[in-house]
Amino acid sequence: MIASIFKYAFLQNALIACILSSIACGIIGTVIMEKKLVMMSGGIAHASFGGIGLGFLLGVEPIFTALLFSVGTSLSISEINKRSKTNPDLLTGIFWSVGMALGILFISLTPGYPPDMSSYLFGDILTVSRNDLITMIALDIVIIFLIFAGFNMLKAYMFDREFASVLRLPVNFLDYMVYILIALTVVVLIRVAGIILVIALLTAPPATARLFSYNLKNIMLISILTGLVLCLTGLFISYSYNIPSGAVIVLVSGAAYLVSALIKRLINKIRLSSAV
Amino acid sequence: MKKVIEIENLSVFYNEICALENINLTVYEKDFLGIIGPNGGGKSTLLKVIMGLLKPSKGAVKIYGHSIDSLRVPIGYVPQFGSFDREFPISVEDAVLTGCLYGKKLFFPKFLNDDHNTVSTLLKELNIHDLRKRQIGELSGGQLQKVLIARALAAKPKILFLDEPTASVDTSAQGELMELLKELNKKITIVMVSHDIGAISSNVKTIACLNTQLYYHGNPELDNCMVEKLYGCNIDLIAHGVPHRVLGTHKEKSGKEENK
Repeated sequence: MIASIFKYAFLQNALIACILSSIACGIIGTVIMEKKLVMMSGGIAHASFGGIGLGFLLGVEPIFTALLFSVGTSLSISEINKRSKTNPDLLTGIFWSVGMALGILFISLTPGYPPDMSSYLFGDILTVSRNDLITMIALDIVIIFLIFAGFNMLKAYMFDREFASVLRLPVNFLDYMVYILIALTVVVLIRVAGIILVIALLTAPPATARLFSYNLKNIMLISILTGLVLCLTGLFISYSYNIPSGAVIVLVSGAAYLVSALIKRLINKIRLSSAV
Repeated sequence: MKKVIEIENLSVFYNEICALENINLTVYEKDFLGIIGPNGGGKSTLLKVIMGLLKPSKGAVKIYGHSIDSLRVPIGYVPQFGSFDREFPISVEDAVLTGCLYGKKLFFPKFLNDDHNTVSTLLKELNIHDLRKRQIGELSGGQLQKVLIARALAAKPKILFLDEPTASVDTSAQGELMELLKELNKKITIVMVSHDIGAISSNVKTIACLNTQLYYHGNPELDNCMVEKLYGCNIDLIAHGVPHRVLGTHKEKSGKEENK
C-alpha cells in the first residue's frame, strides 16, 4: 500500500482526509461526549440527508445544502428547547426522521435516474476530492482556533453552564458556537464515514481516550491520535481487502473501544491486587 | 444600612403554574438570610430569578440598585450537586480557577499570577489544598461542597448564594460548613436556600419562609414548638406563629386552586 500512496492521488487524498477528520472528530467528539449531545449529533447527521436530496433536486453541490440543513437543525433544536422546554431528545427524534423523509422526497422528485446515495449514507474515503479536502482544512482551522482560543471559557461552560451564566460568561455565544461546530463537523465527516456511520467517529475515539485520562485537554489530544490510528487502520484494511471504507473504519473503532475497555479493566485489577 | 437585594412585586409563572406570587423582599448588607419552605415552594426559583438565571413574569429584582443585566459586580453562586456533571474531567484546582474567569474576555482569557494566588489561598483556607490535583468526582460530599464554595469566592463576590448546601453533606461536615459560612458572613452578604431547618435557624441572621408566597421574613428565633411543626405541617403555621390561622390559610389555598 505504501508504494501505491505515492502513485495514486486518490490514496493521498484519503490519507489527508484521515488526518483532517481525526482532528475534527477528536476535538468536537470530546465536546459532544462531555455535553451529552451524542443523540443530537446523530440527529443532525441524519437530518442533513434532506439537504443532500435538495442539492440533487436543485442541481447544486449536495454538501453545501447538507450544511444548511445541519446548521438549521442544530440551531432549531437548541432554540425550540430553550423557548418551550421541550425535551431535546424528542426534538432530535423529530428532526432526525423529518430530515431523512425530506431527502427521500427530494430525490424522488429529482428528474432522471435516481442518483447513487450510498457514498453519502455510508461514506467513501477513497473518493474524497480536492475540494472536499479544502473544505475539511477550512473547518479544521476554524475548530482549532475557536477551541484553542476559547478553551478556558469552554471548559467552565461545559463543566457548569449555570455557574458560568451567573458569572456573566458568554454562555449563549458558547451555545451557538458548540452547536454550529457540531453541525459543520458532522457534514464534513459525511464524506469519510457517511450519514449513518458518522456518529461512530465522534464517539469511539473520545470514549477510548476517556478511559485513560481525566484531563479535558489530554482527552482531546488522545482522541485525535486514536481517531487517526483507527482511520488509517480502517483505510488500510478497506484498500487491501476491497471492503467499503466507512464500514471498516467504524468496525475498527468499535473493536478498539472494546479492547481498550478490557485493557483498562485489567490494569485496574492488577493495581487493586498489587495494592492489597 | 445598605440595601443589597430589592425584590418588588415579583411573580413567576411556569406556563400556567404559579411558582412565586407577589414577593417583596429586601436584603441588607452583611445579612445572612436563610430561605426555607417545602419542596416545590419556589425556593430555588427565587434564587434563580435573583441571579438572573430566570426571567420574572412580573415585578423586578435589583442588586445594589441595578437590574441584573446592568450589574457590574460578580455574584457568588454555590449550586446544588445535581446541577452539574460530577464525572466531568476537571481537577479541583481548575474548577476553582473557573471562578476567576469573571470579567475576562472570551478568547485567550489570561489567568494572572494573582488568580493563581487567590485560588491557592482559598484552597488553603478551606483545608482542601492537598486535594487540588484530584478529579472532582473523587471527592466526598463535604469536600466537593468546599470546592464549590471556593469556586464562588474566587470571583471575589460581595454576595454569596447557596442552594441546599447541606443536602449532600454528612453531619460533621455540615457543622464545619456552617462555621465557615458564619466566618465568611463577616465580610459578605449570604443568601442560603435550605429545607434543613436545623442548619438555618441556629446560624442565620434572618429567615424567610416561602411557599409560593412569602409568609414570613424576619428574626429566626422560632421557638421549638414552631420548628417541630414546620417539619410536619404547613410552612404558614410557623410563619404566622398562630395555630388558629390554619383554617384561614387553608381556605385561601383551596380558593387559589379553584381559580386555576
